[in-house]
Amino acid sequence: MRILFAKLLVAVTGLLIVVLAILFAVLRSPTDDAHLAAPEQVTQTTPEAGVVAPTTKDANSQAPQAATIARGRAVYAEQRCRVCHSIEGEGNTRSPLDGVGGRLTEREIRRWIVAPQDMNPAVAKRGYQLSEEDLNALVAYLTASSRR
Amino acid sequence: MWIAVYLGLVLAPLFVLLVGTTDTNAGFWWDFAIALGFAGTAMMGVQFLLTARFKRAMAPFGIDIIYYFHRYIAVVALGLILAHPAILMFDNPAILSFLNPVRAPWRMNAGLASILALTALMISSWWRKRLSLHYDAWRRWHSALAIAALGLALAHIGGVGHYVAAPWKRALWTGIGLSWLGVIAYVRVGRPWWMLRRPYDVIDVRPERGDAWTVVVRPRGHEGFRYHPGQFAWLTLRASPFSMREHPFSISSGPVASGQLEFTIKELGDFTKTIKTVRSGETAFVDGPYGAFTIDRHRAPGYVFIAGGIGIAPLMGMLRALADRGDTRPIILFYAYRRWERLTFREAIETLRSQIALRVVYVLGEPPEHWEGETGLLEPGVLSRHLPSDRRTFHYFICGPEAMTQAVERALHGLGVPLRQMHTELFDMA
Repeated sequence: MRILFAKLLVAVTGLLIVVLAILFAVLRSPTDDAHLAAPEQVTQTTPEAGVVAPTTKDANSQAPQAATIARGRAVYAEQRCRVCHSIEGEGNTRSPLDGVGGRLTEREIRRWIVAPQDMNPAVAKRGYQLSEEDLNALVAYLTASSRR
Repeated sequence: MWIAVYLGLVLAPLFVLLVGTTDTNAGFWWDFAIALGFAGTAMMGVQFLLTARFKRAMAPFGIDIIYYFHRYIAVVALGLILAHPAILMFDNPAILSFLNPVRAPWRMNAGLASILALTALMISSWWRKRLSLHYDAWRRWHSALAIAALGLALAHIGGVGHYVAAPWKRALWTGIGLSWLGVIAYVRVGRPWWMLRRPYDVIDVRPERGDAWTVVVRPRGHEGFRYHPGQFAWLTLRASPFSMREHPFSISSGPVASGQLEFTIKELGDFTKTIKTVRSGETAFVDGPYGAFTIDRHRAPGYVFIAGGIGIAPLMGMLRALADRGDTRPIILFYAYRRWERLTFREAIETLRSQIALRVVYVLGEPPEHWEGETGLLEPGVLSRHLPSDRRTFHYFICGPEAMTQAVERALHGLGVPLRQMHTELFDMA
């Protein structure tokens, strides 16, 4: 009977913890309405945001640019950026990168990758040591994502 | 009420996260998984508190409930902690790549190692006997794995950093971590230190019927402790209090002014088989008293004691106390044992019969020839034959093997005895 009582106590406690964890998650995840109202999410869809950051390389030649972007996509995958970031809803939606090229300059994106604490000392993100070529490709890929 | 305290301890860190959070929307499953991870870690921390033997916190329950709770809530905690990465991986398959320890960052490896330590801990605890692990060795491993699992989990949280980035949150989590460490330090260093300064002398080790030995200890240079008959203590023999070689035993003597204690121990396991080699004059350490299994906490017009085998020990402590106090209330003792010749305390019980209003019902598994008493197991029929008509007003103290205890509780329940008037003591705590 005492064991039964203890088991009951455990069951009640365990259930309460799970319920409160669910409650926590619900409270933290705003509803869809609030989500749409978030200013950050709105700006990324405005067309002008895409044009704000046109790059010089952009207009030059389309073929090498496509190859660089493809390389950038590969680097993005290799470095497993999507563990913390998402593009078009794929990956971790906590920190979406959609339209980042519209919000940040190339230089800022580069700093965010190499030395994130320069951009925001409180951020819990490590700096990535990439070859110059890979870094350029990744930045190109992310910049290009602003147009999608 | 105590569930609320427990929930508070487990969930406080979670609500700290909720307060002042500025993160973007990560989705329900993500946040749910994070919450489970934090709750699981906090539960691990509270596990240390549960077995830290804080007398005041345990008083309302009895230590058995606390230990059962510790045992079963651990399964819940493991479930939550396993669900934490499982949900994250399901939600975002990219996280699966963290399973490769060579490529994953250290903070993820810390989390993985924490889960492995926790799993090893659970396996070694639930199947200790099947794995034939020695109790002392198991306790040391249990402790080491527990500290490792919690430490690695905290490293994982600190390393990931998302949720504890703000300085005050970091401070708070450091505080929580340190207070758990403090509990560990108190249990492993503070209390043993205190015990070391209050040693006991073994003054006698005498054989009892049924392969049992009574160890008598007397406080050396201090007054010992006050206790209620039926309570138990952790006994350390031939080892330092720091060595974690202590074992819980019921006190089989009634409280006396000199602080002298008797433990009656049956040869059942690795440690108890060595009791007979202990000699007078050796040093012992005693941590106690513990437990709520005592008549002193439950006033009643009469008591029924139900013992199976060596479960007689704490009941003997209560019977002796009743005799010392000249109590006149009616007492019935049911005592189940296999054979008459091996009946521990047979003579002592016969002596008690002349001192208090005690009726004894022996139930023998293998009765001798011409035995006219009860035989077989302690079945409902045996109880109903001997319990008086006012049995519903009595309090019942039951101590014996788990199967017997459960059967007796059911039988008494069937006879109309309210649950709150039944008290049981753990027979095999490990």
